[in-house]
Formats: sequence, structure tokens, C-alpha cells
Amino acid sequence: MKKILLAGNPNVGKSVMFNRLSGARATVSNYPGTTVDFTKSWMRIAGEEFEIIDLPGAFSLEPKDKAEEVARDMLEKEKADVVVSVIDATTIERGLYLTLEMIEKGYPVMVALNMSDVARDKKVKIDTKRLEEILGVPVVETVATTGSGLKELVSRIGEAKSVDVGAIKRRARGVRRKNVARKSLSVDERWELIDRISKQVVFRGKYKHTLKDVISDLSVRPATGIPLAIAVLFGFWAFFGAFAGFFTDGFAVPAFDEHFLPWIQGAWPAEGSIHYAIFVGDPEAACCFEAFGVLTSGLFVAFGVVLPAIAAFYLILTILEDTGYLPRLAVLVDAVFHKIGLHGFAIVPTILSLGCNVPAVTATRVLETRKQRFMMMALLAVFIPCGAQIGIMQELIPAYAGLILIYLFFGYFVTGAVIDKLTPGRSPEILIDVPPYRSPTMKNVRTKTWSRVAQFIKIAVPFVLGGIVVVNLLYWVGVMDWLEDVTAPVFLTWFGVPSVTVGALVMAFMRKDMAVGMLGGMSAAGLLTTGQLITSVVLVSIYFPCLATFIMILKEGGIRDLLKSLVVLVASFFIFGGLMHAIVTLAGV
Amino acid sequence: MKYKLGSVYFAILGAITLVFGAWEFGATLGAPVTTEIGWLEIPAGTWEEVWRGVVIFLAGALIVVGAFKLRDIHGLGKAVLGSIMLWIVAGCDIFGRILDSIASNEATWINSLDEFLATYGPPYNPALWLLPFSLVIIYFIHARRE
Ligand SMILES: Nc1nc2c(ncn2[C@@H]2O[C@H](COP(=O)(O)OP(=O)(O)O)[C@@H](O)[C@H]2O)c(=O)[nH]1
Ligand SMILES: [Mg+2]
Repeated sequence: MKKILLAGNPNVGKSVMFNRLSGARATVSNYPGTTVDFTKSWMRIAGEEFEIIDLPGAFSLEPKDKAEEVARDMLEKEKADVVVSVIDATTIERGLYLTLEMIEKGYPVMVALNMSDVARDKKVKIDTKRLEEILGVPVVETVATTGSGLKELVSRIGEAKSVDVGAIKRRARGVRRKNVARKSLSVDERWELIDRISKQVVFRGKYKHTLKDVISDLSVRPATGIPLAIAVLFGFWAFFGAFAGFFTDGFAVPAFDEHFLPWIQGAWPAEGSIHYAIFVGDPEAACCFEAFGVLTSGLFVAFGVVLPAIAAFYLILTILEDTGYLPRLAVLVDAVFHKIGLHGFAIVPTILSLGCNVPAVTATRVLETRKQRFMMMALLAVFIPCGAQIGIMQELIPAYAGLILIYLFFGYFVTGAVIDKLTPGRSPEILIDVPPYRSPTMKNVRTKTWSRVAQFIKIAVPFVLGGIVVVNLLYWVGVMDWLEDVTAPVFLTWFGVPSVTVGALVMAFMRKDMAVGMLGGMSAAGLLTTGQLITSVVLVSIYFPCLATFIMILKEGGIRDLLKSLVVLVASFFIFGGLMHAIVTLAGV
Repeated sequence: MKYKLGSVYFAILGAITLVFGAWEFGATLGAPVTTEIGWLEIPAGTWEEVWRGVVIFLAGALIVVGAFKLRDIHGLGKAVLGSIMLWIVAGCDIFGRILDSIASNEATWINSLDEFLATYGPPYNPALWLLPFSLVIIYFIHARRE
């Protein structure tokens, strides 16, 4: 089968183009660094099957980060029949750099001048004909988001070919004399050539500041950007609360607590048996949080509480991404994150993590060095509660959920600063590319939100249900009682919480949302005071990342990073748990 | 002329917004002020309302600053930014009201028509009061385009 690779700088529209061409669903985001892995799919052109691959964004074939490394290796390994070099038509220079490098390597290249709509808006005109003449490969103007130009692109795929870079140089100079064939250029020669080419093909009209530019500018300048960020995050939080509350309090709670729970408590046979305990749980329980059976608490938490919360979260996140607000937030917080050895882009995994830690761990790849990636993974796993857990907190302790979040963010920064000091390694500066504001398209928001929610359900639901089975079995065989006895002294003195919370901590290993749900049940049953509930929710948050995250860290960071993260975790658990105990005691909750 | 009037208008609107914002977070933080006057209700009580108040306050500040240079695109930009912030808060309120009007939070699931309509009645909070007045900015955005 023939192969087509899509290569280009980050955020030039490769993934949109890939989706258009193949009908697949690669993640499209309006910020650089979305595609760290490649995505494969198939398409038919004139009755022939092609394999098409979306490469991670790269500026050059001399890799400076993981994404570029993957891109270079794929290009080398895959022996593509066509490499489509996707270039941002508004700034072709950077795209040409990569294109020249690929040409020098002998890859059969063709060029897609994408975002030509934006270029037109910005009054940038490109003489496609002349560019094609100079490069000697097909050049097509495209708008991936609307699909314009893609037909031409596909129809000319057969014309892609390897060309000699020496010949390009000659044509750019307009000399006929035949030089000896040159295989490759130095960096300076490449830029010089690009300069020569762009002088001949790029024409910039007079550009007037539009309102959009001004707003864009204002949103990254601290004096105006910080107020906007405060407002946007408020909107995020308020929408999240309203949306999740609507489904959970309005429908799930009455459905489960008033109808389903009493029914199944009566209908399931053999009260007192092990299967009753596992599937239904407490026969006397008045609400689903308390019952703790697979079919009661399990279904309620997974679908009644967590699902609406996650859906709300991803909906807004997708909108923020697609409008282009997220990278602006990154620029804005850059200075703060530099204080703890990270840079602004750390906001991306951090916010993602507020949805689910698992994709967030993958997103740490946007950071440059090993040190930064490790720091980020550790901080996420330890301090950022996932959307599922926040949803449950909102449901159980609405008055304190926000304060607990603030406390955790405080822990995040303090611990970040400490790890930064203790870990050797570099924290280099990177330039954040701010894409223009765009209005998100319904279709992309819908498909992306849906695929993220579906992904989440796949990861979460088995762990919620399986976790309940495991914890119930541990109770049944007496392991839990033993654990409670052993840990009681530490828990009572250091954290000020009764040892029943051990059950929740064991649960937290599987799923934190369910663990917080369990604590809610305990507090409803009168086993915990409010202060103890708050402290134990903090403990659960900081405690071990859920199993899925754990596996992800192992996969991304390797065993060493995982072990180091665990050290951070144990220390934070005792320090911040104990501190919370002190605060709760002093505040007299 | 148009811009002169506009400047005065947005300076006043911004100032009112500023006051409302301060009122919201002030009331929550314990300032001795009333929180209900006729059809106007100041949301106060939880820490989220402090946050809300701060957003409205800052929105007002941006509108005021922008109002003085409405003719200049940078001034207009600030006023627009402030308005957007206000719209975010008002939008969330309206969204919340719509959801509230549907779900009854009781065993009946859905509200009756009367309850449904009652949700939309007064009192309204400052963000909702300010929303229609802030929409005037759209006129200036269009005027700019021409
Ligand atoms: N206006 C416009 N936006 C585009 C075009 N192509 C892609 N985009 C947007 O650019 C952003 C980045 O696209 P993406 O495919 O994720 O870029 P990638 O990093 O190269 O894969 C997204 O917000 C797209 O919606 C285009 O031709 N015109
Ligand atoms: Mg991509």
C-alpha cells in the first residue's frame, strides 16, 4: 500500500487536514503540541488505497523535543511515497525550512499552503505558481477547516517527487549555469535560500490592526489578561457546577435514591450473602453514596455524578482550546510557572488534569526536558484532583470544594518549588506560539468532546466497578479491619481522622471519585465530622494516583520517575495532610 | 459626536458595574450593606460570590478605562474585553436559570409550567441588569468595521 505522510510545523492544520482526508478523528486543537504521537488512517484515491499518517509537529529534522524526534524517525522509517509538507501560509518561512530539509533528505515532497484564508485576511499574498516553479514540486493552497483546495491536493499527489536542492538554489537565483549537485545545505545557507524565495513569492499588503488583534493582545498582557483569565475561569467553574448539578441533583439523585435503591435493596435475593454485599451493599442505606455496592454506588457514581461532570468539563475545555484561549493563558502564567522551574505550557497538562489525570500525563510531553516532565507528572498525580473527583466534592461538600481546590493548588506550587530545587536538570525557555482567535466549529467541539468523554468512560467505569468489588472483598475477608487497626494510631494523631478512612484510601487506589463518594457515605452515616471529612478528602486527593494514572506514569516516565513521584507523594501526603488537620482544628470546623 | 456620547455612556455604565462588583464581594465578605432592593438582588454568601464580584468589578474597571478612549481601537478593545467578562457572568446566570427552570430537584422531575415561568421572574442580579446596557458596545464594534 502506498503511504502519505503529513508533516509540518505544529499548529498549521495537519490534523484537520488528516481528518478531512481520511474521515478519521485525530485530535485537533488550537495550540501547538497536540499531536505527540502519530495517527494513522486510510483513504482511497481514484480507487487506490493509501495509508495516511499525521506526524507530530516539527520545526526541523534536527529534533529538539520528543515530538520532533518522533516526526524525524517516522519520516526516516516509513519510506513514504508522498510527504505532504503542510505550511502555514501566513508565515511560510518556518514551514519552508522544514520543507527544504525534507527535500535535502530526498523525500518525495509536495506543499500544502494551508490557512490561506487567514493569509488572505492578513493581506498576505503568495505567488503559488512562482513558488512551485522554484521548488519544482506541486504547491497547493488549502483551507483545511473548510476543505477548500484539498481536492486539488489529492489530485496532484502523483506529481510529488524528490528534487535536487541545488537546482532549487539555482532557480531561486535565476541562474542557468549547472552547478554540481548539492545534497544538503548548512543552516545559514538554508535561511538565505528561504529569504531569497520568500522575497519572490510573498507580498504583504498594508496591515491594519483589527479589533481581534487588539483583544488578542490584551488577553496576554497581565494588566488586562489577568482579569480576563479570572473571568474565564469563573465561567468555567460556574458552567461546570450548573451543568453537573442539573443532571446530578435534578435527575440522578432522585432516580437512584428514591426509586432504584429501594427497589434493588428489596429485589436482590439473599440479604447478608457475599453477592448481596458486593452488588447491592448496605441493605439499610438511604442513599447511593452510602450503600457501596457495584450496582448502587458504582452505577450512581459512574453515570449519575461523574459522567455529567466530565462531559461539562470537556465541553468547556474544548471550546477554550478551539477558540485559542488556552495558549494565551499559557503566556499569561508563564512568569508564575517559571518560578517553579516550569514554563507557561505547564498550564495545558494542569488544566487537562482537572478533567482526568491520564491524558494529562501524556500531555506532559509538551514540556521540554526530562526534569520538567517528571515534575509535571509528580505534581499532577499528587495535587490535581480529576474532574470526576471534583464533581463528587461539589455534590458532597459544596461549601468546601473550592477551598480544598485552593489548598491543593497551594500545595502544587510549594511542592513544585521544592522539587525544582532538589532535582537536577534544565528548565529552558520556550517561545509560545499564540494562534489567532477563532470561533470554534460546532462539529469539532461535538466530536472532540464526545471522543474525550467516551475515552474517559472506557478508562473510568471498569475501575469504579472493579474497585468496589475489590474493596468489598477486602472488607469481607477482614483485611480492611486489620489495616484499620494497624494504621489507627497514625491516622488519629497525625491526621485527626478515624481509621475507617483507610477503606476510602484503598478505594482511592482504584478510583478517587469513588473514594470521595465513600467518605461521603461515612459522613452521612455519622462516622466523620465535617472537619474530618475535609481532611480525609484532602488525603484522598493527595494520596496515590488512581491505578490508570499510575500505569500511565510508568509508561511515560519509566520506573525511575514513577519511584521518584512516589517519594514526592509520600512526603506530600504526610506534610499537607497534617497541615490540613492543623488548619481544620484551628478553624474549628 | 457619536464617540463623545459613547464615552459618557460607557464611563457611567462602567462605574455602575464597578460599584455593583464591589457590592457583591463586599457583601459576602461581611460589609454591612443590604443585598436586596426591589427587583435587584445582590448575590452574596459563598466564596464563589466573592469571585463573581471580583470579575464584575474588574469588568467595570476595564469598561471605564476603555470608555475614555473609545475612538481609539485600543480603548474600544478594553471596553469590549470588559463587556465580554460581564457577558460571561451573565451568560452563566442565564444558563443556570434555564436549567433551574426545567429541573424540579424533586420526585416530579420536571417543573410545572408555573414553576417554570416563575424561575424567570425578578429579582435579578446586577450582571443580568447590566447585560442589556452593555450590548450597546456591539454598535460601536460595527461602527468601527465600516
Ligand atoms: N482558519 C483556518 N484555521 C485552520 C485551518 N487549518 C487548521 N486550522 C485551525 O488551526 C488549529 C490547529 O489545527 P491542527 O490540525 O490541530 O494543527 P496541527 O498541530 O498541525 O495538527 C485548529 O484550531 C484548526 O481548527 C485553515 O485552513 N484555516
Ligand atoms: Mg495535530
